[in-house]
Amino acid sequence: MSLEIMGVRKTFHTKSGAQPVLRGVDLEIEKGEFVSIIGHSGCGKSTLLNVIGGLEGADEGKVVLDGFRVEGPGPDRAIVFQNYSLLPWMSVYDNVVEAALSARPDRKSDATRDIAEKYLRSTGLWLHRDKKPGEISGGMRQRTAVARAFAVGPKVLLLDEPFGALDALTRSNLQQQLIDLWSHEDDTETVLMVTHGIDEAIFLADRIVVMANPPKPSVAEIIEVKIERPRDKAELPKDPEYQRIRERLVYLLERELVTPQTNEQEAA
Amino acid sequence: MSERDLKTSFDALPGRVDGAAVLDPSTGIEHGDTAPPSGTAGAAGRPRRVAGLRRPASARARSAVDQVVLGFAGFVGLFALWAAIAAVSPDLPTPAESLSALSDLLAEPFHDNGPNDKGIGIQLMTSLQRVFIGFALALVVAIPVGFAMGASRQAWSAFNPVVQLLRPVSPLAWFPLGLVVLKAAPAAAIFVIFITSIWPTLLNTAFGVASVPESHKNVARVFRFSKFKYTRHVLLPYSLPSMVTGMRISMGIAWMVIVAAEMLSGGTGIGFFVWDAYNASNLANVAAAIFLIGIVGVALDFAFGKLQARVQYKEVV
Repeated sequence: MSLEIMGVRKTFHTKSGAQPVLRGVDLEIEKGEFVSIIGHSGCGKSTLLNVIGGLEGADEGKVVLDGFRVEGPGPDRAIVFQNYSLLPWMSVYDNVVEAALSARPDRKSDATRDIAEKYLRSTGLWLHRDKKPGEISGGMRQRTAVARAFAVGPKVLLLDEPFGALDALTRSNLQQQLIDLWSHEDDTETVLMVTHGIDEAIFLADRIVVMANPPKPSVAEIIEVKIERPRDKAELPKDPEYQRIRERLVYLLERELVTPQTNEQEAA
Repeated sequence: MSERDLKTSFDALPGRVDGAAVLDPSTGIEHGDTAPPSGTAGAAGRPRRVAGLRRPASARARSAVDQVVLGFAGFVGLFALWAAIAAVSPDLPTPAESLSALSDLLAEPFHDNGPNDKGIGIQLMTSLQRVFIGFALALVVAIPVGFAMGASRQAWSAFNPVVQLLRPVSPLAWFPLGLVVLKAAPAAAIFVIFITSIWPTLLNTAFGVASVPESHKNVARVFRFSKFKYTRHVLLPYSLPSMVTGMRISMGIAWMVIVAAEMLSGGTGIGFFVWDAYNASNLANVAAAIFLIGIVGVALDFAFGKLQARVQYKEVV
């Protein structure tokens, strides 16, 4: 089965008029796929992720996961937010466990605690489990958010620019950890990640969805990344396929999809 | 954004205060409670320094000495001014007379020789008791109503005009109503404290509850927190610091108002003591009482400051 996004439209009504954020999005994502969504600010990529996550409703169209229409948030889809979104008064452990417990009332709570421990260990947070989010680094906060999402055991993992606020080395480290977690995972097979980073998109994804700003259609292009896994970050830049995709993405994002509006928004 | 609008309208309210800043109800000026302006900063007000860049121990000790010396100098200035005024106005007690009155009062603070001769300790305890009862009753009203106002737009629309109308009224104006309904002056004083204590706690609670960030709400939605879990793990811990700030302001005002309320109610209490001393032309006792009322006020504020520090969490982002 798969995740199907069918004719999704959404318009925001603001003081400066109607903003057609999603202008008919159709995507079919296979089970086990890692899909990156890339585009300039204002192209609606985060909104699309929120619609799939059930945090926002679509004006038209629907999202169907394994034959069931998405009506709201559910344990089959976990989101890792851009700003970590940890609860600052709770320990790292409680952030993961409390979320997993309430998202999965069907599991025995001991089982949930074991699963939470497993992900806290595999993200290297077990020794820091009693600390509060304010006492750990940005990278550790984001790892906590990733562990929390995996501990729910969702079918689909939704990542909203998860590594945007981190420094380059930490980001690279976390990308590798995410791939390791994902490739050892049975429950969470499908990943959808919104990103600003061209290299990140190619390194992680099987397919890259390039989104455009209004008034162009939402989905500008879908690029397949036919590079064998596991991918070696150090060797990747030499790969002709990598170079071809990178060139295409740079052309799209720096030339073709640059509109007065994207410039304006980048400046803002 | 509606949430932001609500926040801005809160910001415009004079009663609402963030973090450790405290609204001085007499001046309307917000100020940090422990942090002096600069320079002579005490340990609590100084930003933490990175290890290795810390000032040497001798410098820190010197600044602690400075603090004590300057604090002492402030009191010397106050006493000098007072002595100067007392010199030209012979009805005023001098600092020396007042100090001796204070030591007399403290010699036997809990003596009780009938209704007209009770120790200062008993008077203060009586007032404190009234303040605590009125304050506790106010919390029972202010916290639930504040929660409702912060959580529901309808509750906000229903309560806010009433709150805004009653909030600026001097609580003493309620004394006659309390007296008529409760038929006892001490109960009326407690009623006045009850009214006094409601507003800051109510508004700060409403503010805390209304300003839960979208990101916290999204966590609750994505991980499907139950209503109970949302209240227990998001709403309550998020709004607690603001709620306690409100309680701290409420308590501060209540302690000021009890003196005036007891001047009206008579009988017992520190306010009655002050009025009684004035009627007996014992102004040295009035000055001594002012000092003791201040000490108790500082102690109350210190206790609430501790409570505030306990519920404060470190913000992320």
